[in-house]
Amino acid sequence: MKMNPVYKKELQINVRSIKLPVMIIFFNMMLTLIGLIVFYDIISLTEIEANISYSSAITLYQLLVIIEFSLLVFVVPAVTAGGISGERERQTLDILLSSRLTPANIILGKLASSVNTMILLIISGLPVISLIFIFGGVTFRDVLTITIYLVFVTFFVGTLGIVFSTAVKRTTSATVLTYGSILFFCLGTLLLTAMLVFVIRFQNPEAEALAGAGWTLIILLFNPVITLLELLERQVGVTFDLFDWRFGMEIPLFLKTHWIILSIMLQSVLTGVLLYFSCHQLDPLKKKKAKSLKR
Amino acid sequence: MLRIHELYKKYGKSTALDRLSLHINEGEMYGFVGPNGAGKTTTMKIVAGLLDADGGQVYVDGIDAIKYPKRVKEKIAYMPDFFGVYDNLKVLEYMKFFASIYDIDKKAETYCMELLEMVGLNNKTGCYVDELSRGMKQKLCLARCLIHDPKLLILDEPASGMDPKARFEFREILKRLNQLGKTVLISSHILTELAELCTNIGIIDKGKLLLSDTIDEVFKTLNTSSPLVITVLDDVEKTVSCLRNNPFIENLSFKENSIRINTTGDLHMEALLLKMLIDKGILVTEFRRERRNLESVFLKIIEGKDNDEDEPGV
Repeated sequence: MKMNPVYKKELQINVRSIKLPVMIIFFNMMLTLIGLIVFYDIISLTEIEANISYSSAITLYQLLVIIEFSLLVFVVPAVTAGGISGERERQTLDILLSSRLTPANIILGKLASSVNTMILLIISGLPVISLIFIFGGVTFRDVLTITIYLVFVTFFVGTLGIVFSTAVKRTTSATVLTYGSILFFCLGTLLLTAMLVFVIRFQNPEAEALAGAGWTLIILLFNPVITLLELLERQVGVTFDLFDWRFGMEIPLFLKTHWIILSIMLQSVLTGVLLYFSCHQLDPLKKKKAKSLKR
Repeated sequence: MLRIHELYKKYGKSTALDRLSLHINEGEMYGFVGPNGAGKTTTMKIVAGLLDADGGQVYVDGIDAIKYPKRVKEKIAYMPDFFGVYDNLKVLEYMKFFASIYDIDKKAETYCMELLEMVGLNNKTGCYVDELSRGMKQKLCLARCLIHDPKLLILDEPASGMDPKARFEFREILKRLNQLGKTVLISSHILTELAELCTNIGIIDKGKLLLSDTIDEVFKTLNTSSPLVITVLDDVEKTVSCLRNNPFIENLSFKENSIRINTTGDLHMEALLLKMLIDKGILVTEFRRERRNLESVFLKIIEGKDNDEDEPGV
């Protein structure tokens, strides 16, 4: 199979850039620092209680995964938001577009290389995540599942970066918009659900009304944080009680059973739609195509 | 090779191309001249499939460029006026990147080296692209354009910002490419260079093609409107009085033995004028049209167009 030329070129450029080692060092430094603090806390407790609490070990795992997730969500826009706008700023985009490359080739090459970098970060963080194996309670399969989910989130967030990078001219604007959209998906959807719950409670203060309003949580299927928390809960059987994202409502059984797969499917569809939009946006002859479609 | 018919493009309210028509035959080196904002880059970008046209047709080697941009991209190469640089990419890697776009994977290195040799960069293969001088970058960009052996090269002000030596070298490369059968559409502000380089020339202003012809024809047409310079051995006063009576002469000035006249007549009148001077016993040592350079041709055409537009009822 032929390798995407843009992907190949980006890999070549990325490995020579100082950005990559700096990113790996920063990423692992943060992960290690937090991991070691929690690890030290567990050991300190052991000295007092003379036994290792299973819940502490699970908290360490959950914390490490959430920190890794947060770092990824923080780093991905910095890598992807300059993908297309960077080419535009360097004035190399016209050269690429006037060649045989299609907008899809360019966009997928850019996205794949960014995801590649992120996979490198995830893999480099595995030794720190493996701290949990000292205490047990989490299997290798659990870590692998989480790793695959993190790669998926990288695709989703990376696509947001590429979309804005294609839509706006400047990398700075694209980066700001990407962070804004991530904030919307991670916090905005929660806020939206909270508002809906508030309206339902306001209209009908009785408890039964809220019990039947579990479907409003469907919005949260687009929230990668919630899906991560749900995944962690299923793996270790313990809720990471940061907050009650269910707002005291009962999740409908169908949603509860298929939450992970539904969420991944919906986010995948959204990723696909956004990528299609980006390809269309990058096509210099899009107006002409739109006209011919109208006819 | 390239046929543009009634090309029309608007940016908001301003018209960039106003039903521009152009024809370039195979093997021609066509100089596209015009002031800033005349529509040169817009035309080139539409041909290269980088911009939508609002109307008109573009055919490259018989293929409709607006309908089948993908097929046309195989036949053309576009070189923008600014060479964008990738950090951390070496010259040979840059070439190989474009070779891989066109599925040239086997023997890519040998082929890229041949092209780099053609533009004189074979000793720079290991250098990072961003470390090259402006002239070298432009040569590299030209080598990149040749990677898929295009029939038509579209070069948007390729020599801008180059020093005279680099400009000369670049011009020589273009001449060689033209000899190899490549059709070249080149725009530039350095008009004298186009005169030395191009076989044909087109002057564009405000989105309209004002003139399109072979460089010799352009000069021939404009030559008859150039002042006539007559130098005599002696007896300037007698010569001037003879010339003043000629109805074809519009105005006359003289300095020492050289007389400069503007005429309304053609080549026949010129010959008669010379005969008349000789018949009157005047010893003529020089009788010629003042040679105009391309800049003056360009300015004259643009000015002429502006005057036409200013005149009421035109």
